[in-house]
Amino acid sequence: MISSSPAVEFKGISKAFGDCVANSDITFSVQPGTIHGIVGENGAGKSTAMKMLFGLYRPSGGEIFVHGKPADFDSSIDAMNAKIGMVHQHFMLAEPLTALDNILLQQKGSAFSLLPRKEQKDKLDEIAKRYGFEIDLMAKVEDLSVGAQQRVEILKILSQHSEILILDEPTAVLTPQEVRDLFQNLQRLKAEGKTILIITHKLKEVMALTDNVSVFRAGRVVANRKTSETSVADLAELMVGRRLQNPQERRTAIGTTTVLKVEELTAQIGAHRVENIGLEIKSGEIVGIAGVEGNGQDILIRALLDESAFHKKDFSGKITINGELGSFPEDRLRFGVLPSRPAYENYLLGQHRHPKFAKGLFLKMKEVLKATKDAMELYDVRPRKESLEFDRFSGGNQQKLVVARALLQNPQVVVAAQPTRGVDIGAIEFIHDQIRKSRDAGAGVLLISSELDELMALSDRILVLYKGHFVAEFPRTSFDEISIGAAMGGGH
Amino acid sequence: METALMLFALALATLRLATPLIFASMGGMMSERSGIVNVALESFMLVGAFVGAVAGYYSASAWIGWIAALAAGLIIGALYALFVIELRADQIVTGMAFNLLVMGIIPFITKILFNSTGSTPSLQVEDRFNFEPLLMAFILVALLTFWLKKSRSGLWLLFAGEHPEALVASGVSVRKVRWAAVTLSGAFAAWGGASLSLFLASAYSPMMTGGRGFMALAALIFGKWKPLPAFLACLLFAFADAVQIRLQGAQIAGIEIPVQFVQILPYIVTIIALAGFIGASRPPKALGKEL
Amino acid sequence: MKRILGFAIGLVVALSLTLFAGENPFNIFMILMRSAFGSMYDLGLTLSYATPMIFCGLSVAIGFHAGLFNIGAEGQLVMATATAAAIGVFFPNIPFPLAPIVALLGALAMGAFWGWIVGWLKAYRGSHEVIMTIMMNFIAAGLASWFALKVIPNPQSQNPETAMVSSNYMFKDYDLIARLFPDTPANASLGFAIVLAILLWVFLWKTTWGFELRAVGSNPEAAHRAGISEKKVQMFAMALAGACAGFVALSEVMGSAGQYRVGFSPDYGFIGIAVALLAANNPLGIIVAGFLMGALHKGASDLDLETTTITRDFSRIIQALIILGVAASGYWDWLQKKRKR
Repeated sequence: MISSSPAVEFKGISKAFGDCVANSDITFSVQPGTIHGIVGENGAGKSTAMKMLFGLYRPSGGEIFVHGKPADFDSSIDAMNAKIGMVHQHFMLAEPLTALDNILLQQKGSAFSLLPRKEQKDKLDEIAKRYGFEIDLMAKVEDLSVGAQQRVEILKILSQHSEILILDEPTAVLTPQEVRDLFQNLQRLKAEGKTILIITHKLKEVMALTDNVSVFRAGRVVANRKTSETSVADLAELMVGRRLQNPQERRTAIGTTTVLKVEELTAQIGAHRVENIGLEIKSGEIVGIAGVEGNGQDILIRALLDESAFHKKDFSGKITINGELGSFPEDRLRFGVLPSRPAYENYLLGQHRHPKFAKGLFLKMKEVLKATKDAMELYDVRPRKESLEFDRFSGGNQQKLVVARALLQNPQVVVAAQPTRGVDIGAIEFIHDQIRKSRDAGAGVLLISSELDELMALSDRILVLYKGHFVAEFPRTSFDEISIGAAMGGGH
Repeated sequence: METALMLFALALATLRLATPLIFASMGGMMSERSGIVNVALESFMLVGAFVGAVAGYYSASAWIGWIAALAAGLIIGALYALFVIELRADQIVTGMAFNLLVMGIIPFITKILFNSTGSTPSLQVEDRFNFEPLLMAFILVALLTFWLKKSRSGLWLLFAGEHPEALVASGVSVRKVRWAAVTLSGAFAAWGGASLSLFLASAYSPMMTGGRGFMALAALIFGKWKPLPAFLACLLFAFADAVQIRLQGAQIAGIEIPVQFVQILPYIVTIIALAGFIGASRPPKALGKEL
Repeated sequence: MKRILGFAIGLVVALSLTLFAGENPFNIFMILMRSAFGSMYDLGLTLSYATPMIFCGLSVAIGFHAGLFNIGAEGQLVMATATAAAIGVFFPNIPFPLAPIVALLGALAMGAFWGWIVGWLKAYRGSHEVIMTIMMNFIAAGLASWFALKVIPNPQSQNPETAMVSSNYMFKDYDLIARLFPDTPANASLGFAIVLAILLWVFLWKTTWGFELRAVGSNPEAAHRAGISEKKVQMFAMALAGACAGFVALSEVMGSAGQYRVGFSPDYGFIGIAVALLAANNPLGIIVAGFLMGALHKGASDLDLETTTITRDFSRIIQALIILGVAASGYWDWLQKKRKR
């Protein structure tokens, strides 16, 4: 499989969706038999570029070459025929079916032919063995762990004899043990001559795994480096450009009254749980919760915002909230809003029984419209149309509206979950400022985020959640990406 | 002896009454497993019953009626597919509209053909089916079970309803799979109707399905969208129906049981079953969702 | 606008079908118009059909706003109508102004109960409301006909109907609308239908409860996080929908017939789906849509007399094709959206 031309080469690729430019002048190349990191912040254009390689989008300009040949893919089927495979962030697996059937789906054959289960199982077991994968092919996907599901996806690609593998944020959903296993597997694949492109924004993983790395920022490739000749700090600077969030020194002092207190909380839904955790937030204090997703953050948020989600036997402990609670949920479209309804109804949601907006059974629609209008003005939500359906605003403007709804009520306690997820850079800074303002006004803020930068920019202290426990606490004076990251991985 | 005879008669009646339900619920399974909600089964059955009876009457052959019902079923199934897949009409609204449409169209046609308001003339008793549809229903269940478990296109059907994106990614058109499934759904359900007018009776009479399309759908859900359990649920509902016919005018402890109470028995059983008091059932993940 | 186009296409297709029967579609259309609006008598009948259709349209619309598909209006109205008749027969001595009120409240309570059962099953057992309401329709039909045939049958008639309620229950003497359309079943409940529609419009868009109901219909998870109990809302919405359908008892029992007759409803509950769909679930639009569907129904019912080949069942064809026309009109929205992307 050794050829003189690169396995993958992007030459001046650009991609626009309507007016929105997602990629411009992307140029980099990947040598066969190497692992190539595609790094960048959320929204930097990594996924768009990879989806073009996989035939899901068509470039607006430029050319992609695979093994020296122009890759003119109409669909992912073309890409697969060119021996490219992709593991999506959301797995393409049908849960009630077996792993084997999910893989067999990929294979061509006439509609009425019988599925060659036995023969294929032996073949797949052999491939799995060769790469050191542990997979129970006869198990239903819903009974497999996330890590095992990911292995099914990779095996699916390998069974297609793919030579180039694209992995989109493969570690986002994995436990640290599973991440180690995955990396071992990937190294083995590389040793067998496969070419791997891995999208991630976790720099330590890039350093540990890759041979080369391309850094994306705002839709462009700002650097192509050999991993051995770069460092986490170097990459971080390239990724962010100018540091957006200069750790601003706070001007007000932390208060003395406790506004939020969690004592001996043990709660669980499915496999996600927190165990015997406690925390206390004073007024004017921001406490950050760090951790790899799936280590109990969602349970903590639920416990604070929606205790009724738990079975009685799965919930114990005490939560005390002093004062009004304002919150924005981790997934705004799912938990926070009525996507198909106008902005003002979304602004009203949750406050619809507040005397400000309701008198007896009746809503004060004039007040609602006015309050929405004011909020949009204050938070610079564009376009300024109170009656526009929520899902027609851009992500950043949507989130501004959600944040405005929570913070403009001057709550004493704020639960801010992933406050800037899927939000453009300008809006991120704005939202951070609003959270600081709220803190300065005396609110106690619980900040749950998967972005370490965000936590370090805002928090007065950071608690690290790992496997449902708080395993470490860092005061602001000793914030340090490396040690917090280590704690998040269970290595404290 | 008498009890044995009665039980035998009851078993026989159950099997006969189950036949239309089995066909219709297999039709429902095709459609719903592919991700398309189907409350139009009732209309598919009516069409099958009517066209079967008409063709059977003119040809004096139940088999010709059976084939005509198949053709009519394929057509109305394809029509339903056109509305819900291509025109993106709401699946439940469209289904109910189909029921209404067929209820209007059949008397419209009988008026033209036979100058009657909804019934067709009878077949000669010796021309109608004796047992064949029952046998075919059993064979259909067996075939579908085998096909769904063992064949490649069976797997496509499951993915169309569970994870259509994965099916697309493997290069199979979800649209085509759903079209085929919904069209076949029309054919199977139409056979269910034809077994009413060519097997249980010997003519079409107005509204002769009497809600069996909905019962078949309930049996399908009760049977967790799987052919064999759905088949068993059909037998259960048919048994309730047979008992109901048997109990009409019967007395228990000197009190006559009102016919209507016995008639609603299967529906109450269905509600209790579907309320999850007897095991929960989980629909295909993409059921009712547009692409 | 697209709905009107869908409506027109449905109507035109339905009329074109009459070509197969050897009729002239334009003639049929004229017959429809004439027999719907031709005289005060015709108009009275049109209005008497429109009234229950408005009630059922409102019932379906309330369900839709809460994200529930109420196919059960038919069963709810049957139960309510039978209940009103039963009250009238069992308590003949309640004096006039009180009697119809008691009967109406009884009917509304029964309709609400019949809807609530499905709401409860949905909220606490996770059962799908569509299949459940269909089953409840069959059960209602069985129970009500048992009632009419066995419990309080009409001694003066062989027809499947209940005995007449006492005259204290009828408000004919005070009924201005009935006086305007003599010899027709049109009655003051049309006024109630219009008032109910306006009240529901206010309820949905101007009250906290209405907002909560719509919020649950729009995104149950977000509504839940905003402190709204989606279970309660689902039960409430189904009960309210049932009560709306229950109002049919007012027009049928107290307003005109004075009894429950098996099969009196030409599937008002299902026509309600068409009405709600045509009006985009807007209660005020439902008044107009109900009137339209009522006119088509009345118009079609005279086809038996006016033509030799077309029966009153033709109204079902018209209704169905209009529903399909409107339902498929969403396609254009979808096309537009797709183009924008």
